Amino acid sequence: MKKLFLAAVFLAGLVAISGAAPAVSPPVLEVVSLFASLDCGGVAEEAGATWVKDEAEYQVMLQKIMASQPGGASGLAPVDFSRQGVLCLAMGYKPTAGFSLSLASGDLSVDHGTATLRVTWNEPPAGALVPQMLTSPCLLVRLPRAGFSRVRVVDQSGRERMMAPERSVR
Amino acid sequence: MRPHLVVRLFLLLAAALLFACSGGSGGPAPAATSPAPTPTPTPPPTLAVLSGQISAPDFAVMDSDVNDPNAPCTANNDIDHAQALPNPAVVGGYATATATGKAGDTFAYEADHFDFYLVTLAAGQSITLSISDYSVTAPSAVDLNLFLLDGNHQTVASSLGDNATETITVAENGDYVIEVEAENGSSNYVLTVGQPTVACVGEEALRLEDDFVPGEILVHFMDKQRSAGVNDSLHDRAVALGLVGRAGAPGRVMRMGLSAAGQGGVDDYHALGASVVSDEMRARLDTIRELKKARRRADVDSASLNYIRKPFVIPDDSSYPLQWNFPLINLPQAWEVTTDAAGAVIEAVVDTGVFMAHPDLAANLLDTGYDFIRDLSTSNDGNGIDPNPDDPGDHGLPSGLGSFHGTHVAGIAAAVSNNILGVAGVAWHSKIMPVRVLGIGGGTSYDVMQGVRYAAGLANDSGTVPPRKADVINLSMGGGSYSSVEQSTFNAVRQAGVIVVAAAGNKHSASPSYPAAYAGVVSVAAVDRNKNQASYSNYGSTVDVAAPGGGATKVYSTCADDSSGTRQPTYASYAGTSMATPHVAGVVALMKSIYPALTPDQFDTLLASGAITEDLAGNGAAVRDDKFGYGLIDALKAVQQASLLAAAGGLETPILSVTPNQLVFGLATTQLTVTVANAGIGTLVVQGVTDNAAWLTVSPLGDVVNGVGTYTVTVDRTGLVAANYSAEITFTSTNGGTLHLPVTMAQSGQAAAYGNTGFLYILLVDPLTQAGVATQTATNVHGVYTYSFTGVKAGNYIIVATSDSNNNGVACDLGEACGEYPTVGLPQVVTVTDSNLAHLNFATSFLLAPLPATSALAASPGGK
Repeated sequence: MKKLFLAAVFLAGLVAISGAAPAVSPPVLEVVSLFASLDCGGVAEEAGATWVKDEAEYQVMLQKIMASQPGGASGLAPVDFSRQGVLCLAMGYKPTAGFSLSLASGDLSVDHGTATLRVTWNEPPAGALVPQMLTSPCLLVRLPRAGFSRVRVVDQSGRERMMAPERSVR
Repeated sequence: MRPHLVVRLFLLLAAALLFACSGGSGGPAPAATSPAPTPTPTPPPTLAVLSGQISAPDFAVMDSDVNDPNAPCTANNDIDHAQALPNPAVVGGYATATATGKAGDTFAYEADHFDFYLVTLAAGQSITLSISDYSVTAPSAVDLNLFLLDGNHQTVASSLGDNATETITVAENGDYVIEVEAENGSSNYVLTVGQPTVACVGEEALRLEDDFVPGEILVHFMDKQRSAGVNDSLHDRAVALGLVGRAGAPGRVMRMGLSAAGQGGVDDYHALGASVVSDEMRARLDTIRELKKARRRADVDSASLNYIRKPFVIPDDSSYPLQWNFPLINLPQAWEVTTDAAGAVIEAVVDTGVFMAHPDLAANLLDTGYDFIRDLSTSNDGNGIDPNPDDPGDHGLPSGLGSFHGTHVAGIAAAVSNNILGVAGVAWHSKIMPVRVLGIGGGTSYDVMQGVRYAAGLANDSGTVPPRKADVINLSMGGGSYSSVEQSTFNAVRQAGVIVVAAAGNKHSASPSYPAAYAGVVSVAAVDRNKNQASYSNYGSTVDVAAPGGGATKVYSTCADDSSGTRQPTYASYAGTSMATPHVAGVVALMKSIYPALTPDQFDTLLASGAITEDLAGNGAAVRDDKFGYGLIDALKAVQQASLLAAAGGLETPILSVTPNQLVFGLATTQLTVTVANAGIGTLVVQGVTDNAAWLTVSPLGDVVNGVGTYTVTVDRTGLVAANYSAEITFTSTNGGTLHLPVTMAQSGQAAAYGNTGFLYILLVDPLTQAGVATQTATNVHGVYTYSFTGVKAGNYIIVATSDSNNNGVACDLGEACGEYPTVGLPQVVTVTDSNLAHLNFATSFLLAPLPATSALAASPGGK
């Protein structure tokens, strides 16, 4: 597995890749699920993918999310922001239970500067009776800072659910 | 009834002064006044005799020292000379705080400050003092107070307000001394003992025994600030009242203390009866008197005691302070009434199941729950329908993400409460029947219907029903569309008497959400902690009621955390109409704990009447609106309504009822009857009637079946010494409860044997002029007054009898005995021709002061 670290791009602590990697077979990187919840509060009321740029921002985000978590923040895998980044995937505000997001694969494939992240995207079946509680599901994943500038999020059926654009990646 | 004809008829005092009353410790006797003799008319050719008897009602008693110098007088001014009363009794009396200074009055030279009465009372009996000369416009001008002293002569209850009536309710059976104190002015009064009377709602009683800070009062002056150049501070204002300023400032309420020396300068504690009275009781009396002095000042807008307000029932659960949602619907006040302490009500939570091992739920969870999720791909527990409603989580991945929604809902409805741990539930002890129907991604309407049918005790796919059906079913779920099959199910559930509540939905939509929108299902919308419509809450024509669902601040309750791979008990904050719904289900449980027969129809009726909700829309709680339905559920109102329903009977179970609710044997009474009845529905069986006194005998009459019917209660005084006796008859039923009937009996020497309305003046009155033509006086002999007017000319007359307790020469003042032939208020003209008329009999009674009108109440001190 080839990992590229472009210090100049990371000065601001962002995960970013120049896209100028040698033309080799698409690399496969390791992705780790840090945390998933039905209710990530205000952090995840808008659907989308957001990069966490550094440790300070990460702690602020965790504090917001954990405020509504019964289990707290203990047991999360560590993140070394000098060589890793954190991506927050949010389904957005949902009026009921039945929605959830989880990591489907620990592998992150990268192709032409775009990484593909595979998730399991759950929604209640049409017509199902569901608990009438508000949810805002989210998933936090740890990614290596290597070889990509954008992250494409696809669900279990291959449908692209969201894109962490280059701008956000920085 | 038309007014009395003779209310302002001056007496023609023909009788000589009989004897004077010292009024207590002696003093100069009032000068005897010789009334003007009645002119002797020239005898007409035909003269007649008018005669008859005037009766006094049973239990009527005359104060033994009134202001009429002609009336017999025995001082009752201290405990040692307390006047014995029967129970019940109606006493006509007079008291004056100062000597009247009017020659001819019994109390011309000395006050009649106190009247003491000795009586045996039963718990729950009331004593009411009606102050005849009370003035709405000057309420403190005539101020009589009421005290109740126990057998040790300590004050146990009091009523010292500036009101037209003072009332005390007796807490325990026993021998008591009742004290009437004239604090200010003079007045006739009627003291009603042991009989129900109508008291004015909203009046401040000012009780010594109330919880207030002795030695402190709160004062608000009329003027916010005084004129320029005049010193104006808390200190200045307090000094003006002879008090010590402690807090506050001119322009707002000031807290003032009584001075340390003499505690305000009031040193008369005779009202407290006993010679040895605690310092605290003295301080309390001083405080009330200082308060009343302050109220009488023209510059004081309002003054009150510094009451110690205690919180309502607050559970000790560690996270209860986070449960803003419970005070929002007045649950602490409702818990004063009931927490379903017996654990008699079952709430079915038809949901994702419940984490059965949660320590804040386990004790309230029934083991009769069920799991109706048949699809193995969503059940997440590896099986289909089974009797295990434990919630494995509804996400299905090892990483967890289970909502444990049903656990959260169950905690709101009935978490184990007041156990130091975690959270409280709406109904502390009600039982939760967990029914699992929602798995991964929710559930199907078929599975939900099976769960609902099971909870209601109806046939279902499990092939079984619970040993006892649920009383209320909570459905914090929604989705899908209308289904006639589902509507039929809910019809059947309702027919079974089970109340169903469901979440109105979270889409902020007017579109109906099912099952909440089904007929017969109570649809619950959500409000936030400010009682505003929650931003997500559905609305529309199907919404029935609102409850706290949370908004920015969510609802905290029991939950589970499966993020570690194994479920751990925890707590979490969720928001939604899901959270609002169990508030209503819990309130239904509280209502059913009081009134088990509450039906869905009755609940709907109460809801639609606005009787169990708080109006949030401003159009009246009885008017439905689309946001809140009939308003925010109000737990206190709900349990109060349940109590009313229970009191009104109509339960589907038998209820033992015994009337009257006490038996009082006066000296002349040896036998009374008691009726035992069924106040409920069904067959009542009374298996035991026992008593605890040798002098008491209870015997069934011929109409008694299954112990229900009429009983005679007979007393045998043979060998009993003079005293008041108490006993109890216990009625025990197999299915309608047990009742204890208090019995009191007076033995000779304790009370008047016959009704006595005092020394009476009997007048012949000209109906045209209202002038008195002739007067006689009469004293009571065995409850009867006999009169005979001789030499009566032919003509028309009205016959009136009256006492004159205040000695003002006016007949039939309030508080005095009054009678007219044949009926007081409806006198008939008696026409005399040439023959005698006998048997002109009628009755007297003490005239009670009418209650002040509502507008007058508003002007009274209590209305400030």
